[in-house]
Amino acid sequence: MTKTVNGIEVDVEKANRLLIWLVERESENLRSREKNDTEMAKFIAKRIEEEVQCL
Amino acid sequence: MLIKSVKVYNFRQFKGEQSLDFATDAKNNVTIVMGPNGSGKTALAQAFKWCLYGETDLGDKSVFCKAVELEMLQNTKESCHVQIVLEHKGAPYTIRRTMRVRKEYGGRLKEDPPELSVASKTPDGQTKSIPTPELRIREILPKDLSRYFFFDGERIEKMRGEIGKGKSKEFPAAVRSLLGLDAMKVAIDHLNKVIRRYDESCDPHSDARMHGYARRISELNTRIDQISQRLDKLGAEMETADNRCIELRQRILENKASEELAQQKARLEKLRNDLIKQRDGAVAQMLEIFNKDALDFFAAPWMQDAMKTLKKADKLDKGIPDIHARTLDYLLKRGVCLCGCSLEKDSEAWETIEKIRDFIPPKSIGTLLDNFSDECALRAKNASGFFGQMEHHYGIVRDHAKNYGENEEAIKELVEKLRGREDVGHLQADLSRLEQHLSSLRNERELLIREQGSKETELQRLETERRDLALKDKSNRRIETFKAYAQAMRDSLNGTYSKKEAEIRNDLAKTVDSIFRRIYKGGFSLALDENYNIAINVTDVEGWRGDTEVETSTAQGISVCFAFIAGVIELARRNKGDSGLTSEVYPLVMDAPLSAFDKTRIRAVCEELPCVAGQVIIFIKDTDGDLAEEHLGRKVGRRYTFDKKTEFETLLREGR
Repeated sequence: MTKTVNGIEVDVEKANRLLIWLVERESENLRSREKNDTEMAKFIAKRIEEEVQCL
Repeated sequence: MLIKSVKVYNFRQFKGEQSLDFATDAKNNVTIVMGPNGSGKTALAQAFKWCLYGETDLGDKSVFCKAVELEMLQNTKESCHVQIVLEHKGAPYTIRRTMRVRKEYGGRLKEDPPELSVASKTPDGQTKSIPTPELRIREILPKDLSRYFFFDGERIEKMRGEIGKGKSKEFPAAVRSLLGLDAMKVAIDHLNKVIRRYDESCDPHSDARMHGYARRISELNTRIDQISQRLDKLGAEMETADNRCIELRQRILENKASEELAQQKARLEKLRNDLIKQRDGAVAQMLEIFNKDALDFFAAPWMQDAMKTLKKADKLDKGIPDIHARTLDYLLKRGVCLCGCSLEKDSEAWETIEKIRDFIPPKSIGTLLDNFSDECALRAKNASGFFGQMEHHYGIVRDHAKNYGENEEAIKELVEKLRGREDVGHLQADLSRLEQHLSSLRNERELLIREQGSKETELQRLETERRDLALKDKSNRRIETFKAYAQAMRDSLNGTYSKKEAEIRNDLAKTVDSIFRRIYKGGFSLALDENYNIAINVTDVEGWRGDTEVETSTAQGISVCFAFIAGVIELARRNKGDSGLTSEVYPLVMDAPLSAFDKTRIRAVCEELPCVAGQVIIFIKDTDGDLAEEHLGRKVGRRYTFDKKTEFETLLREGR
């Protein structure tokens, strides 16, 4: 299933998978405090790019 | 969060180092610390607050042990500290606040600002010092919420008011954090950052116009962020100012009567000054009159005696004024009297002149006596008014003593009445200043909101234009795709967050209500609004309007507080492990929690709390403690007692 965001087709399943991964990582990071905000943003962007490029 | 132990060193009544290990076992999670009045229960309960937030609710703000202070020599140093070992989200923490003191020459104790340190252990067992200890404590237990977990039974009424209404805006955020919504919240924030990164990473050289869009969009984003931050600050400032205005208005209203009393006191103080002036004037007059007429007055009896004696001696009025014997000698020698008569020796006229010689100087003092008599008459006249005038002025002084005393009594009474009341004039001035400040904040906010709206509209337009342009370029289209995923994730998460938050709030409302009914066992129910404010509604009276909150008794108020705290704790525990939620178990540290309850409710509370809280630590006076222990029964894992040595020194002992 897809939906259009800003004129671009987004795979909803893939976005949901990314979301589950994201919330788990955030929970983990809240416990460990391993990454700061900037590092987390970079980390998330990298993961999105990896997933999206597998399309 | 579970508290493993606390160590106090030279803190309040606790001389040297003393420590308590708390029960953390799930089955026996209650620690009872019992002691008589004044033994340091509240001080020890407040040690948690001081360690975590650097403040206490104690009247005497100095936390350094008085017993140690008394023993310290001049120019020597000492310190006090509180150390808490706790576990939060699986990580162990050692939190320590230390204050160094020095006794100066002259005996005054100088306290250095307390230092906070937080250390934790890494998964490989290494101890790591946390560089931002205050921030970490805020994450473990926000101060705004701490008062519900470090619970002071003696200040329950205030707490009830706060739970009902008037909590800060941070409060709902703090509750949401405790209930485990943090991970979603930070995920949304991070996705926004990711979207911004994509905006900034489009290749501006792919099209000349892209560069212009990128620059302007970046400027707009920066300004919108600034506005947003300023609006947040303004909101907090306005809330503080608003609350302060409400408090001032209330205080002005409460002290209205004191305004009249203060005016009355000012009038009496003016009268006091007038009376003092009047008395000083009378005393000055008396001194002047005394200096001038006292001699005449006191000499008057002697003068009268002298006059009487002179009169009897018939020495007065026989001489010829200003005639001296030399004058008569001259007349006799010349042989002619002043009247022209001849003065022949042994004639009758000669004999008469010779007789006069006896009454004039130097042979007679008649003339002197005449002069003396005149002087006496004059002085007697002066002295006649002396007594009257002195009496008049002395009367003023005497009246002053009476009036002054009565006036002082009246002032004293007014001072007594005004004691503890506030100066309405100052309050009014503060209120006016604050209202002006509030008005300028409102103006600033309105301007910022208008600017924010226009900037956001421009941003949306530019983003659409840029996106359309970006899609024409291969490299930028790739970035726009990533951004679209990030946006889709953020929008989906926003929806989930709102839904989950509403679910949790409803769940909390039900949990709090159910705990309240179990504890209070009355015809009331609790309702929770979107800001987590609680209202009590009557459920067993037909026709009662559900939206009308009822005035609560002390026991109801305490039950509400217990129910709210227990509800948050239970939900936090229940949500632990739920995917997407980052919740935790929480302890309850309670100082004198049962003093306002009857036996039935003590039983209900004692049965309820250990089941919902991960850990319960109760500081309690011996009489309530026996009852609590009876109901808590098997749940009690550890017991401590206070052994009060002196007013300044208490020892902690394990067991009863």
